[in-house]
Amino acid sequence: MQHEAEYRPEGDRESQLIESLEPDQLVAAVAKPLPRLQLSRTVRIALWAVRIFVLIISVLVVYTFIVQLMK
Amino acid sequence: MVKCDSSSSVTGGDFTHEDRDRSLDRTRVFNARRSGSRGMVTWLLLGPGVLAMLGENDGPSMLSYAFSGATYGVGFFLPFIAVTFAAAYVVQEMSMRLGAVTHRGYGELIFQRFGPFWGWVSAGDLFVTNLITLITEVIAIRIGMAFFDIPAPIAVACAVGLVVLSACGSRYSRWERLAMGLAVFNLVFLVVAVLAQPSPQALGHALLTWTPLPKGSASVFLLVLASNIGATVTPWMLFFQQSASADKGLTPQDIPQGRLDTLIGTVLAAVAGCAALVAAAPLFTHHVDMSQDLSGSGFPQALLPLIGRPAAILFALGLIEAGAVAMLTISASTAYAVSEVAGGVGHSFNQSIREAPLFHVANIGVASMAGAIVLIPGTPLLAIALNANLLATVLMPPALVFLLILANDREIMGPNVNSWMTNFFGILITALVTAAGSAYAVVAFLETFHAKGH
Repeated sequence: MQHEAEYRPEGDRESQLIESLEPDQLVAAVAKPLPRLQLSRTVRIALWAVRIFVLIISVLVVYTFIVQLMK
Repeated sequence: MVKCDSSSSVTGGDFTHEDRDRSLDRTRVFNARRSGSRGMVTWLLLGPGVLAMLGENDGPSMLSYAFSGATYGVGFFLPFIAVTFAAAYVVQEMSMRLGAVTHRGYGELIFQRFGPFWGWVSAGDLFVTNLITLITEVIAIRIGMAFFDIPAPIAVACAVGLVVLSACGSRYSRWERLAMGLAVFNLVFLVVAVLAQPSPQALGHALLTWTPLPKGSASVFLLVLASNIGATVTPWMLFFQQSASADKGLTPQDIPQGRLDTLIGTVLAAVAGCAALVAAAPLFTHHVDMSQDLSGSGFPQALLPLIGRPAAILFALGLIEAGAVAMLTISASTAYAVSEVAGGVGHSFNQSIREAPLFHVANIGVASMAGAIVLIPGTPLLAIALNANLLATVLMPPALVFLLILANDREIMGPNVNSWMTNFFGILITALVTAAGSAYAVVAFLETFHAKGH
């Protein structure tokens, strides 16, 4: 990109920039996704249980909110 | 520890504008550390923690603390607020550590480690709570400015204009220092509290004994309890502090300074939050019922005859400041989350609008949307303001569960995983937040259902 080329450091300055950032901190490195976590059955059930619980509670809160609005 | 194989693929030619800006900031930290200037290292690394904490002392939060003081005085809720900030420290320290070690945002990590479904669900939760919270921030600014007879459209334009202005610098450090400069004024509530002339004995007694205990309606007590929790521990703070830590360029070596940053933010925010409660406590002493005027317009007006005009003016200014800082940080957290889960697009304040269009459009777009909603005639602003913190509490448990799993993920965190003590407090906080949110939801639902039946 033109914009990046405009800012690209030259010579020794470039190596100084590399030194001040960790290799895995560079945009090109962070752009690579991390591998997917292998979730156990228990963890997957727990995640779904929390999500369903939150949905139920949200329905109660939204119901209360709407009824109070109509008062 | 899973790390991207950057050495093989990242060469000098892969440097971007964002890398250059971040490396300049990192060079300053490196030089300060090499010269042994601890104070300078701390100053340079200060930011995400202070902003997350003071940003959470937003319009609805300050109103929530003030309502606690006006309804129950300086009893149970003064130490309770201090404890909720201690809980916020535990949670925010985890998100800072995740950002410093992985260099990735919270939304990005959920998307990559748990898959697109959970990534989008988390971003969806955040978008809903952030939009509602941003509406309340605009309400706070509008109410504060109304005290000085500034019309609503100008107040809303100022709120949205601030977000646009802050994003113009295309530099994280500039955005951060602007927000921090504004955030310092959160301590104006401390001045209001002093002007309210509270009894030092009563404050000391409340902090030591948690008494007098609240009396009256269970649902009002639970609403205030859940709102105070939602005022200190919220999903946007996780997204914000982790993403901002990564954007700032924190590394594992900076974790001690990251902790200090979070601790300083916690102490400042706790002082300001408790001050808002103390400032409004004269309303409790004089039996002024604020339950019918929770939008905040009543607080500066109601306090006027009790603590004087200067203090009432400062209270109104404090509301404007609280709303303004939160406009910046909550819009930013929305932008980070949306662009992180979208994947493959820029998500940094170090990038221009051309380099990170989605990030900047989300940042300004969500603030504009909130401003537009506030200006719609007949919008139930009071009800929205009341329920904003409550919604944050209700939607917090899934965010905390993801945070705990990620902070214990040895593949990405290596030796920086949670200690057993952090896990103990993390699980305890998750359980208490879940209990508080669901207790209010069930009690209020039953009361409403029962009242409707009659």
